[in-house]
Amino acid sequence: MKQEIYFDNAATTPVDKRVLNEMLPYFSDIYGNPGSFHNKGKKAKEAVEDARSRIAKILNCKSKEIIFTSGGTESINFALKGIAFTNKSRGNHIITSEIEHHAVLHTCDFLEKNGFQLTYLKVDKFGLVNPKDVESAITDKTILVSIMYANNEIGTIEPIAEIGKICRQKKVYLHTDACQAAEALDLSVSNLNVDLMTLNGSKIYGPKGVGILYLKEGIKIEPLIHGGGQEFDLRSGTENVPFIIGFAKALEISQEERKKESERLIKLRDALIDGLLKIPKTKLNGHPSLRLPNNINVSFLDIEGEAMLLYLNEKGVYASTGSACASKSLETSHVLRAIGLPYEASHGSLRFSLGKYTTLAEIKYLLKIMPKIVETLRKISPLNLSMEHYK
Amino acid sequence: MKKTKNKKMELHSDVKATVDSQKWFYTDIVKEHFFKPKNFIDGKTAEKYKADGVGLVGSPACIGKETLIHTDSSLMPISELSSQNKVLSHDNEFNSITKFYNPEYLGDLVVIKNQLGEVSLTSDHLVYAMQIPKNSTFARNDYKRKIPASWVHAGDLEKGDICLYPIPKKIENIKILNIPINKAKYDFKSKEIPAKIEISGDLLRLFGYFLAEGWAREKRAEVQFCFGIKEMHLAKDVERIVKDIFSLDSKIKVTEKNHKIVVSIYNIHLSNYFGSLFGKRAHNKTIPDSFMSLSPNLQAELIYGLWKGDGYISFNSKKPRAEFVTVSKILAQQLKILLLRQKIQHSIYFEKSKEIRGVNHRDCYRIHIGEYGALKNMAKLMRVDFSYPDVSRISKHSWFDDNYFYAPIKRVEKKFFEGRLSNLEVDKAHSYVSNAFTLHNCGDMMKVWIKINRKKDRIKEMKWSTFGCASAIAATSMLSVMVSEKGGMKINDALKIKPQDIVKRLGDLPQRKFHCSVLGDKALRAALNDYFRRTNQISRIVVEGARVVDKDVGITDKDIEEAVLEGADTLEKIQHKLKVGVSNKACIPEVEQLIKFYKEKYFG
Repeated sequence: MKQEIYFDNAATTPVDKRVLNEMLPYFSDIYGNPGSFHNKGKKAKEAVEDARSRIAKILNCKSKEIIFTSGGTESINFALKGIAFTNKSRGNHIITSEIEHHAVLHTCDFLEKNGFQLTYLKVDKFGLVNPKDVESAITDKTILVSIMYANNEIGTIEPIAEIGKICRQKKVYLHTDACQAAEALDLSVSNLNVDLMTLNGSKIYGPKGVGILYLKEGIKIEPLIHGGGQEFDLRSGTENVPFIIGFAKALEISQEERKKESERLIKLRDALIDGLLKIPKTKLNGHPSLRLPNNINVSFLDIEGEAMLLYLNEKGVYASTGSACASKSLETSHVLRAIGLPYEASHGSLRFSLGKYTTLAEIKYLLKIMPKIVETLRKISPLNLSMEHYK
Repeated sequence: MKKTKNKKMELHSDVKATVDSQKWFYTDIVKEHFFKPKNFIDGKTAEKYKADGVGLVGSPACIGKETLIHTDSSLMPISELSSQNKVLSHDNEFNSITKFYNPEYLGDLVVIKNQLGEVSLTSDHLVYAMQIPKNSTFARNDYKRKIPASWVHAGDLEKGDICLYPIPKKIENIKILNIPINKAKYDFKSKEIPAKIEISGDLLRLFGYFLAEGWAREKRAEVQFCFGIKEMHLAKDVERIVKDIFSLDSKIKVTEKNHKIVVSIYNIHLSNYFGSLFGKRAHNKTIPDSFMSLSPNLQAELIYGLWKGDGYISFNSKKPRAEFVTVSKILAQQLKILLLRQKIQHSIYFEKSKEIRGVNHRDCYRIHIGEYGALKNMAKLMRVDFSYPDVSRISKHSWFDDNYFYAPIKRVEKKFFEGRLSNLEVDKAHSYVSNAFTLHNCGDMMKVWIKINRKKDRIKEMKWSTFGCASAIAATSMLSVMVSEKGGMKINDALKIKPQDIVKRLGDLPQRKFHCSVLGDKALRAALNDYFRRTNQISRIVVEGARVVDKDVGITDKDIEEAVLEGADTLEKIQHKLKVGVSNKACIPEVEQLIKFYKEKYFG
């Protein structure tokens, strides 16, 4: 078989074998409904609660502050809509940033249609939210701030702890989407000063279709899904036991290996960035240092991202692009637009997201084939942009 | 990799539509043409390629031919620029022009107006601007200054968004002016003037007076300044400067009847020099290019002289203001630059010729300064006191920093246009500055070159290059094969090629990638039109027109075609995208007709 190199770990990760093994018994063996009275149910219930407490330990919070959901998108919908509708009498203003994931932005669109006032904070050219902007945006009508911990496209790490401090002072709830951050960053909610936090399984070598919402004790929230009253009456539906177990295991492994793995990835990341920037007319998007250890986002001028992806795909290398041609809406990436990247440079952007199975040999292979791909496509292109404009 | 051949799956039609639109990977033929594109041409080869016709599409981003462009020598209509000119770019530098474009256009233009002027341009032209969030209260005030500027499509700009106007920074202080003196053989009596004079504040002030109130009569060897009856101090200033610099005497004559003071200097060399330097008639008076890059301190003296002549300052009334009126279009634009370099913001109004109390007033340009901060700077420059307590007149919506003047958009309109437009390609910064804001130059998305067998009326060769995705590359490669295979396609047949013909030959394309394949045949038709034009076969030129369907929102049949190509195949989806027929319900039947037509045209 032809070799495959997977540089799209920010899209999703494979399930770690250790995680899978821990999940397996819960499909056909310990299959009870945690809500059932009998032993089969009790066993499942115990497993779920055990998973919950293991996660709580990592997040440095109480077990009852963890709510299992079907993934990041659900957690975000729950957090934003829940807080918004519960606190309607207190105020109707919500603050978020322009570079959030679509799960946040489109939920905000929905809330805007339902009478809420939204402020979308601008970011600087590296994609950083300025905590002072958060402070000046807060009014007495503000009920919630939602800023991502780390960006999925350009990997910029936001100053969440600092923003959290401001929100605490101003008595406004802070939610953070930490889906991309979980592999590499500190998840202690007391260090981060957050009130709500979203995590999901599919970015941490766990299963897809499971996630959590951390909800600080004492915060009232309207559930999104009503029914049998599972998860402290906040998220109904029979618990997805095997996936919950898988999520807990995945989170444990990733936090255990976090420091060592980050160090290793940063070396690989910087080697790849250095190598790619040696190709003429290329530009790194995002922050040079406040950046996820696995994220590389580079614009190649004069050429288009989807065409590059197809060449890479042919060579068995899988990556992604911010080009409009590869998106459903036929629009360039909103994140790249928000950091002020001109549209022709967004068209020519590629994202490589490394993972724990990435090797130096793979990086070297990419660096070997990339210049030729760029050269081939530049030959066909009528553009000849000057680099000066993009520095 | 998944293969998506034409194999028809038996699915319910609703389901089929969703499956189709999600389809992603390409057929083997698409891949073959993508990885080994046929007939493409690289930039260097293209330069030498002798084509019978050239066509380009994708970025028809253009502006009106009359648009004034800021060059290193004054402002010029874009259609009159040459490769000798350098244009001001958003990096505050002057850059060379590398290419000119004059494409045919038929459709709507966006007209954007701010306090510096208005410009008509195609909606996909990029403008250097800041988009201000309209529904956020706090972004309305000081915060908006922090919003980063970016390149925004003209069609996306709204009233209240901020345009950036770069302030030219180049300072070139010439110290000495050379005066060419042509002494006539028989002229023994004219007093000679120095052949070299030093540039000084006094000299620039004198030039200012002259630009505003003077004229040179070469036949009578006379330079004349005309002031109001109360302006004896200005007349005396002229007299002193002329004596100091040129060692010439002036004659001051007060005519009570006309409420005038006339200062006359009789010298042939001086009148020749002034005439050649500034233009002889009022409506073509200009400031010499070399003065435009003097230091702002020296330029302040020029403004002083100009304003004392043709300007007006009133700080006493409830509405303190400074105004300047000139009939010279270029002088008004030059004064704008001079004022921006002093960080004095202002508005420019065009006033059509009119008759007031029996006196004819010609077309003129009025520069108005009313903002508190600007008036303060102006007062300092004019050496008058200005203390005005009303802070509310400091503008929050327009401001300066070291590099730019930030001017809010006052109005955005659409207007129909048929004819030729212009655009440039600019070295390095890829941008240029009009009288009102900064524009990005154009970039080709798709370019096609053709060679024609004139006898047989067939296409011999088609070469292309594209900044495009896999579909665009494959579709254009396939098109080039189709028109040149088997001895070449007849021109009349080539004109009839439809995107679905190309898609058919490619096996298939994902539905939402259809519009990429349209680029190639559009460029081919443009190249054929170009060939018709070059060979004087005017009647064969086919102009792809756009017709407005909904006047309320300015939506054309082209917009609907584009939307259908992008997958909006029902009235609902079209309305979601284009807001067509929302207020103007009468056009809905036509819109539905068009959707049906384009669906059949492209998707069979």
